[in-house]
Amino acid sequence: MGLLAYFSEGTGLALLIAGLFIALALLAVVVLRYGKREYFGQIMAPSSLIGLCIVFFAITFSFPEEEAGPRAVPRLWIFWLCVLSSMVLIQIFRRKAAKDPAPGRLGFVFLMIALLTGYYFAIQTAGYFLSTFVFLALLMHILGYKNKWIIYAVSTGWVIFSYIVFYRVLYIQLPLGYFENYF
Amino acid sequence: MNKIAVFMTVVAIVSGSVANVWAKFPEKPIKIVVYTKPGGAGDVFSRKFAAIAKQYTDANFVVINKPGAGGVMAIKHILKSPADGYKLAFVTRSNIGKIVSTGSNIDIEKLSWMALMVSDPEAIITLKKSPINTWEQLVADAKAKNGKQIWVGPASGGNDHIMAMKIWEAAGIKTKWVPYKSGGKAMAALMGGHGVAYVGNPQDVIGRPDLKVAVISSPARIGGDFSGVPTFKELGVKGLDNEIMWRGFMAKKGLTKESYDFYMELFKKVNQNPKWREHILKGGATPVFYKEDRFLDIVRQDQAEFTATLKKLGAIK
Amino acid sequence: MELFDSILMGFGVLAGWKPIVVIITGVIVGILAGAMPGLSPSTAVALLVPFSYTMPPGLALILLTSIYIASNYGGSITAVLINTPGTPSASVTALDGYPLTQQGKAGKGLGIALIASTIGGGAGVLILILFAVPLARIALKFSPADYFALALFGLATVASMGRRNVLKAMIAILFGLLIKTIGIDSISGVSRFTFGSDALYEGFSLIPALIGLFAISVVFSKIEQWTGLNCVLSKVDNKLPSFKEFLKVRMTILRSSIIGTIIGIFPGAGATIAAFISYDVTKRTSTEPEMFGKGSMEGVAAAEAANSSSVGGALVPLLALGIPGSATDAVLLGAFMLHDLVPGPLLFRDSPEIVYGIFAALIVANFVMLILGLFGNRMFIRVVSIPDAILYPLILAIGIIGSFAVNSSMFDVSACIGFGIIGWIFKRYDYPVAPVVLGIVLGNMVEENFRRAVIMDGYGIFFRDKLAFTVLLIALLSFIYPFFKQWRTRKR
Repeated sequence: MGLLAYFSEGTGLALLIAGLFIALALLAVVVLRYGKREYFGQIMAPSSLIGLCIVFFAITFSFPEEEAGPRAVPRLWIFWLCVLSSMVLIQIFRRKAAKDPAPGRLGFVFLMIALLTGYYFAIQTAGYFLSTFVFLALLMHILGYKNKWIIYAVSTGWVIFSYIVFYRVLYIQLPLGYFENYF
Repeated sequence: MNKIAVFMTVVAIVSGSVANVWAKFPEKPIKIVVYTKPGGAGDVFSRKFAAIAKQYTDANFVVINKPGAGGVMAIKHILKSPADGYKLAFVTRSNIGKIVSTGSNIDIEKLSWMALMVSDPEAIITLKKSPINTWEQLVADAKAKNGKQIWVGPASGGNDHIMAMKIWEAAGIKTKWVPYKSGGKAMAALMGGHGVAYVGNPQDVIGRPDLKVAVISSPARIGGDFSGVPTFKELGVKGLDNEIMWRGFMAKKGLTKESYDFYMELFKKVNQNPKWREHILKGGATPVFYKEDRFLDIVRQDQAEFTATLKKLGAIK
Repeated sequence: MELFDSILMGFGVLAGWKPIVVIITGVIVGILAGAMPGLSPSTAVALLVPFSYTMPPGLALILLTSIYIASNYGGSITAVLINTPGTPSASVTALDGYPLTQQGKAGKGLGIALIASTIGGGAGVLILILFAVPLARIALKFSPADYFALALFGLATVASMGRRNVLKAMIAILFGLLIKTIGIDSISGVSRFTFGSDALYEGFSLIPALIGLFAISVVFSKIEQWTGLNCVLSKVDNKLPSFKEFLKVRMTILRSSIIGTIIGIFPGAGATIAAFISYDVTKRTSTEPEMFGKGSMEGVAAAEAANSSSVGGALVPLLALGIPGSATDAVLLGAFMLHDLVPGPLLFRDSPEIVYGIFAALIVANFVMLILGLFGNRMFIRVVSIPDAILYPLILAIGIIGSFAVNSSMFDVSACIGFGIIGWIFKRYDYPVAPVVLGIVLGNMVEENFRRAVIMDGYGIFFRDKLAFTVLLIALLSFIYPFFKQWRTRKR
């Protein structure tokens, strides 16, 4: 138990998380290289959940120990999550499971995620209104909408709508970023 | 006659000079940062304050809500903003508890604890129709049940739990604390008979005729609807004469003297406003105005108390 | 007859143009806010509280309660049209509403949702008016063990959600439950799995998670299948459900309204659990359970009748006892206090015109909602014909601002994007996302009541408390039954 408590916080926890990432990466390489390629996602999804469970289980050792205390219920969920995820993995190896769906335009999805992340940071620096306009216009353009005027009209319309409804009427303090001091 | 004349002159001079000061400081709206969502108790309080304060100044007040982590997010927001005096924050004692329990590195000394405006006595609340509804009955029942008596209240390690632990220690009894998500839910449990006592403030029984205040922590009885409620002192329980839940306002440290004086004057006026006093007294609390020196002492003391208790409970290390 | 007189007095309060304008405004705001992902009923009401401060108390509360009741319907609009539940409880509506839209029957989906919401909302209010006080007394008697049993019963509905793979549905619900343990543990005061971050102190908020799992993930999935063609859904039918179709679901609406009201009464249960449970019950008793999840009108009706009727139920503890029964109730309690009113039994005595004014307004609001909804549906349905290249960016923008609006927090925005990615992965590998929402909604209720019950009376309480034991048994059986049926058919 002392060993497990070491992994529950601080350096130990960081080591554990790093170790699990490496293990998952190795698993990914193995699956891709040596067969089961068509089950890549179906294997990685439950495996990642099991990884998450291991981290959470280790952390529970840092909670005080008492009857019906803070440890009990998370461990119950962790236990069943691990059992069921393992059952999904077993199904795959007994070839009872469905294969991965045919990959679509994954690059496009990753681009979208990158754009959203950029938008998230832009809101905090350039402020909500400016970054939203750029984000919307850029995205519509990327998705291949032809009519430029409609793109600008919709983007501007949304920015004005959110300013009036959210900022003015509902008093939601949308981040203004660097412009904060000018208002 | 003469006295009145002198008085009037003094008032004229004072208010005249004050008006002068006011003409300078608030050049733009003052934001009151509230740690609850709109409609929460703190929000209601701050809006009342703003409405009354408006009578004494031309400045506009805007209440903005920064919920999160029981007030820690709002305080961090204040610390990030410039100390220009245009942002006040509403604070209560429970925020101090959250500063401690979240382990956030907020330094209370970097804040200017400007005014403690309301002092709300802690109280034991019981169910009227329950056979155990007075202090004597509670103590006798606790001893008979030997640790199995149930008290309900909000989360462990909060104000009310700490108060309960103090009461148990002072009375020499042992009981169980069963925490609920919010005070309202705990009161529902008390009304349903799932526990025998709830620790809260007198205002909790207002509008809920099933409940009564059994004991109050106050140096003397409080007036109004609660004049029949005994204090701990009267019941012979020592050391619980002034346990309070406070509410007040603070800002980031470093305000100019001009803006600081503006607020001191404003708090003083609001504190004396009859409507304000009536609103607070109706809730069984006392309108007060403790300035920074006294307020900071209370905050420091609370911080030490929360730290000690939460360590004892194992909630922090 | 006293009650009758009081109700009449309530309608008397509504005389004049001001209250009617306030109700209509409230219903419009409620429908629009409900339809907007991120503005859940409680957030919508909360955001309008400051606005109502300047109004006379009676009108202010009429405005807020009208918003409350209409927003539960509003959530269904976006759920049906673009698979983006505007409110947490509409995530159940989306299960069958969106398939209807995909089949070109958006008009039927919206129509049945509107009718079910109106009848459900009305039934809830009726029960509220007639039985508020006795029902509130009964609800108080339920112990933590009973609440735990009810919550487990809610969890057991997962068995009817995994269309193909119950195993994956269960993994999804456990994922939601585990996510919900992040943050402060309100029983012991310990912070769990927060990795030292203040932002995680109160755990993940439901709304950003909901928006991410449903709305953002859908955009990712569609982008993955992007063909570059701006195809619009070819046939959009705004035909309303026929009278025959309505008659077919009338029993479903009635039953779900009662389930919704009852569950709404329990402080802390709420619209989402009501919708899940009534969907489950309806599926089990339906003559065509195989249609559920593929565009069953019964499914939409069950979810919407339940979530709208829960409003009446949730107002029971607030008005009868002054105890907030839902998140929105807590906000309403604040609104009462702002006007120096305290809800509870004394309010009936001291300001009956306010209480019965609210009752009358709720009834009127339901009719206003029906009329506005019938007109609005023709307009809303056009959303479906917006080209995807415009619609998807807008869904993302709405999701982002909606997540931010809940707590004015950028952390919630990042959580929303994160849950969007998780939702996309879940959907890609055939894990349903609705159970994750169910897990997040029920997580605290299950854990806290379980531990409270054990602290009070030890583990034996679940056998000694007859009601809890019975409900637990039913939950267990209803959970096992689908497996049993599957096993039997396989054997044949």
